[in-house]
Amino acid sequence: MDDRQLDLMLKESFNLDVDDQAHVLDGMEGRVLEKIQPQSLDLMLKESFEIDVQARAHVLEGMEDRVIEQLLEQPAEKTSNRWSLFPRLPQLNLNFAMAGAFAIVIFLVGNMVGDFWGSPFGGPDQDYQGVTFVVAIPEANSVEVVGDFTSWQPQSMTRDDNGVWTLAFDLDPGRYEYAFVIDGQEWKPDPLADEYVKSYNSTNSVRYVSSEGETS
Amino acid sequence: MGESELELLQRALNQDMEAWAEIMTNYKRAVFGVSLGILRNTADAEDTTQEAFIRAYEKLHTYNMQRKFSTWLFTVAANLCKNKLRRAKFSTALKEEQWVEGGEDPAQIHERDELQQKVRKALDKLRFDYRAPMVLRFYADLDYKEIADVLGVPEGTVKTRLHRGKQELKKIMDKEGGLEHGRQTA
Amino acid sequence: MTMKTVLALVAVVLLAASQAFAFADENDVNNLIDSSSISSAAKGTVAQGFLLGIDQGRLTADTAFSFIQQIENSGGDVADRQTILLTVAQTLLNDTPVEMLINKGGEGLARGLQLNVIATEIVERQQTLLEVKTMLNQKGISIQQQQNGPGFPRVSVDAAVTDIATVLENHVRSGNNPNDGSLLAASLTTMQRDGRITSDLLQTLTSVLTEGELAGIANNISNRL
Repeated sequence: MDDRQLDLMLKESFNLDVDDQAHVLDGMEGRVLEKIQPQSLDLMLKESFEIDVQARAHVLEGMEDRVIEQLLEQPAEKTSNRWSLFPRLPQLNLNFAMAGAFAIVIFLVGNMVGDFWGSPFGGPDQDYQGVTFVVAIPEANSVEVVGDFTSWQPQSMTRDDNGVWTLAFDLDPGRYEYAFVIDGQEWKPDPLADEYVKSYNSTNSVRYVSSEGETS
Repeated sequence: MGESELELLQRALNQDMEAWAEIMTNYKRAVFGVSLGILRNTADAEDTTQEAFIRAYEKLHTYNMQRKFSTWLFTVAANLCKNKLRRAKFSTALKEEQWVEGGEDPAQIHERDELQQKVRKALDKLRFDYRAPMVLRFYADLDYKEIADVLGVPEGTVKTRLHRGKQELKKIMDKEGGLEHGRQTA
Repeated sequence: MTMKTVLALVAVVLLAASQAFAFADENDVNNLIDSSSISSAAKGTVAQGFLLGIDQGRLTADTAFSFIQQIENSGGDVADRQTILLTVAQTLLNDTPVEMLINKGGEGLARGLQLNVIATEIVERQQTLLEVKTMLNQKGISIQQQQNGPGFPRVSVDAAVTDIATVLENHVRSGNNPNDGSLLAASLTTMQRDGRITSDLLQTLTSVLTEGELAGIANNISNRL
């Protein structure tokens, strides 16, 4: 074999090698782009958000005055967390008579307070009812919430005309595990949960309640 | 720069409305931006911003002065957004809005803007739990820990959601097709 | 509102209140344990543990009563009932919180699971609680035995033990790698969000907890499952 022949052979074998392995190049453009894109996507996102705000910033004009007007309309000493007037009942170690009396007072005061203050932020808002659980299961006959905050005792949710089930709880800040029980049978996670964890080979939903009073 | 933020907050705590107005002036755009990014609807974002300032004023005594004020304020706003979405998700959907096209002169749209529009359209379709950390990261410039505080989820979750959110965003953009779909030609 | 409506409402409220406030006391708990089907030797320990827990404010008599009653009425084997009650009682006697155990017990019953499955879960989780408690003790974090004495309030320490154990259990049970380096951050975040933990305890925890030790306990959980 002379040198020229060897050169040819080498050239050919390199080519063959490359051909053999060429499949690794499939879709490489995409992979490279993916590597490059993150930074530019970040930048693009930043710009996107800014453009959107810029285009609508006019709605912010005079907002200070509107807020102050609303704040002045409300009694200054108003408790900011109305629902904190309602302590977590099971923790109270009261006897029956006291409990009854207490409940009446709470009930009546709650009524008066509600009438007097109205809904704090206009409209039939649920904000001061604590933490609301919502799930749409139109086909269900009953939906209940079970969780560590109910001692895993089912609490019935209320259905609206669209098959949306809701129930509000007064919860302290913390981390809560729960599930929905459909028709008294099937345990389902909450599609709107903050997190999911495995429990007893099934899934529990997790909801965080922050010190700001609501779920975050 | 006038008074320090801390002084303004102290005065607001003593029910000085002028001080609170100044705080609002300083932060309304940021709060609106975060709400808009999460809700993707002008009217709802406006309502939420206003409500957030009312809410924050009333709860100002619970604000820990050692914490960054903006983070705390975003927490109040993000909670309101989340509640709004939770309620809106199933009953009345958030008010429809043809909003990506809004506010710009179509004649000025260049190719880069088309890509920009694609991103913004894709953001509309992104899940709330991906969108929220994104706006806090890229619009409000918060770090992971601050985002975790605002959204009330662990830091690891924030990182995961940001990562997955971006993947998801790219997927949505791919599905929408190439650049030629970025702009509707009349 | 007429007087009649008010009276009707009062009646309704009283009725509701009588349901909500049907409280058991320590005697009821004691009697319930006495009349339960577990062995007499076990009864002594179970009563001792639960009553101590109630005294220390770790659980209310009402919670104890309904938990024991639910376990008793669950229809499982006596051996499993005894295991569950003894495990909870021994945890209390070890000066360790049982919130997580009671919770998981309640959840298992609500899910309609076999009592032996619930017993296994509770025994496993007890180990985790004890390991976390020991780790904190070794780091000088202990429960204040008297007012103004050294240590931290029981409620705070209990919450910290429960939170850390919960994070570790969930991490492992959700199929995550115990050594992925995320346990310290997750534990601290959970505790920061727990209104029961005082800020000075939180500060101490932030400076003494280490990823390695948490991973150690998580690995133990992983080995037990």
